[in-house]
Amino acid sequence: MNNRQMFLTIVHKALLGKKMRFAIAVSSIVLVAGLISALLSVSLGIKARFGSEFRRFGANVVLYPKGGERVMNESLTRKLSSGELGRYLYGYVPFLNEQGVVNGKTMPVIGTDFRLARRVNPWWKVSGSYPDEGAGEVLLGIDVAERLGVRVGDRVRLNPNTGSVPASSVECKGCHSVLPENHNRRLEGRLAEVKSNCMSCHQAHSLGGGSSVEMRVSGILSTGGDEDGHILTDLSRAQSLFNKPGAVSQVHASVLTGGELSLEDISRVIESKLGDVQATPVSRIARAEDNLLGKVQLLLTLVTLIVLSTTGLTLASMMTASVMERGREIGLMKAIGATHRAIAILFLAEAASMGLTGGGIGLLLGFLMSQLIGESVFATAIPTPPVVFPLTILSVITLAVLSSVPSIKRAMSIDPATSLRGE
Amino acid sequence: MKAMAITDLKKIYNAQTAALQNINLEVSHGEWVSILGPSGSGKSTLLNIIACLDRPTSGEVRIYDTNLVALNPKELALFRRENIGLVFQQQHLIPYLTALENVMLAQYYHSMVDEDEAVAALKRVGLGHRLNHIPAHLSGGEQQRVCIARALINDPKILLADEPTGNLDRENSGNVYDIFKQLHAEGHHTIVLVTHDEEAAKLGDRTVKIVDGRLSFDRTHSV
Repeated sequence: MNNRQMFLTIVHKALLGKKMRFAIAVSSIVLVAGLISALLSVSLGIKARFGSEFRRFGANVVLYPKGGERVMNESLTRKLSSGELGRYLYGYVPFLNEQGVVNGKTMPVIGTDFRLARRVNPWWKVSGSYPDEGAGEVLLGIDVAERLGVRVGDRVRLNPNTGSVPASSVECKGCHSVLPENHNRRLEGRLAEVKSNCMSCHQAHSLGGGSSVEMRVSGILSTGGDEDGHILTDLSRAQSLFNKPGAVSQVHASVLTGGELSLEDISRVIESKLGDVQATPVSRIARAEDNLLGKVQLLLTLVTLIVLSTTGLTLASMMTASVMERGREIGLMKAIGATHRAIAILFLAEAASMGLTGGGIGLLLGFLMSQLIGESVFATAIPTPPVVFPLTILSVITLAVLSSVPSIKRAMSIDPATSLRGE
Repeated sequence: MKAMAITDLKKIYNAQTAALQNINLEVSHGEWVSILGPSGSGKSTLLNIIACLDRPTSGEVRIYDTNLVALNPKELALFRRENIGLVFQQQHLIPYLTALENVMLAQYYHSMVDEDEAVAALKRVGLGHRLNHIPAHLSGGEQQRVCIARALINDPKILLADEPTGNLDRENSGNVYDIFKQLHAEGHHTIVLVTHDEEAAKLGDRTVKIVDGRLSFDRTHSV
């Protein structure tokens, strides 16, 4: 046995010599370690979890064409889901915003990708169903439906507004592709009923022509937002109808926050990767997210501090009682040559050992607690970031060591002659 | 060679209770001096001062030419560690350490632990078969022998014993004094034994009696 082993033997046996006291002290450390690790896991995990939760409230970044252009190329959006950007994006949805005349009334028309829209805007409520791609169907905002007196299954006539779009178009009755007016002219026939090959499906179909297309209402959309006053159709159909192939007006992106980069940072990354795009964070969502996150983290910090203080006081009183009980032992150690430093190191080591033991068990407890909190609050498991392990152990060891300071001072003041007399 | 020289030693507690007054005492190296006296006479106070566990109010205490009065608390602790072995009336042992570990504890606080030496020290006091027993599993006599082994493990120049057999029966007391006699015969250690047992006091070379804090007699025993 060398000095180090002797020291460890003393510490080990001193702790186990008072099993009940040791068990109580370790139990209180286990509880505080469990709480610290659970709250740390929740506090760190909550950022990412909040990010995901907030994504249910829609896009937090809007992409506009740069330089005052009204539209941008749809192909730019494909870059969003690939490479580095793909890591930051929960989802995105392109929009082509136009004005059209529906059943004789002018109203905003949106072309979008419904599959992508449903991911980014999961709260959208559709009575009926989303339009099938290429089926010549539309989704009416609830306000529009009321205004037009239209129900699911009815048909509406959509006429692209004059001015920015061609006045007339024709629709293939086979594949429902909307074809531009010049297509009809090339046929040298009447716009009303001509027989020709469709430019889209290349089948010989009759073409219904004119300045409008008839579309079936597949569903009524209710969002509580601007969309309630719009008519929505498939993006490719809108592009074709308004003669803007491959064009989109804006893209709503749902960016995952909670990582190293802020929403603004990610917006700048998007701009740099996409080029001719201006990425603007939706500040109200970002602010709400930050506010809530800040409040929850403050609450968790306060709870942790209160628990730490309470446990610290408990440990301090227990250790002081221990020193008083072991006064004769300390006096004896001093009488046979222990210096103040040696006594202090012994008690610090005992405190650190209790911290380590309690911290180790507490980590396990904390992991289970964080899972419980995650399941009950977020309905999903909360991952325990690796940094929680050293942080928790370090916290409880520091707590135990700091709590032992008053008792160590007392131990150092013990007079060996007095204590050995039993006074 | 002078092991100890005490000159005009006084110890007054709370500015009014005189525990020791005008003590003058010289002890030679290898000598066994017994300090005799009734309870409360001041003999343990004198022992504590010699053991560097207490300080005199006035006077001088020299041990192997080191003036203890001039040392600060840390130096006193170091001096005690290097030069003095202590045996108490109550068998002060660390309750959770084995007999062997209790002896090694003194080595640990002195310099380096040496298990072989500690085992040899316990064998010397007849406890080679009780090395790994904790104090609660040892008799009073065995515990006191562990204390003697611990006191001797760092080879101190002075062995101070304060009523070492006060809590022991006759047989165990005899065993303890046999060890003291053996140590004295070897001549390496100066022994100061505090006792109220006159028969035990006579085992030494000399008996000093303290009554009411003063030396009442200093008598050398004939061989």
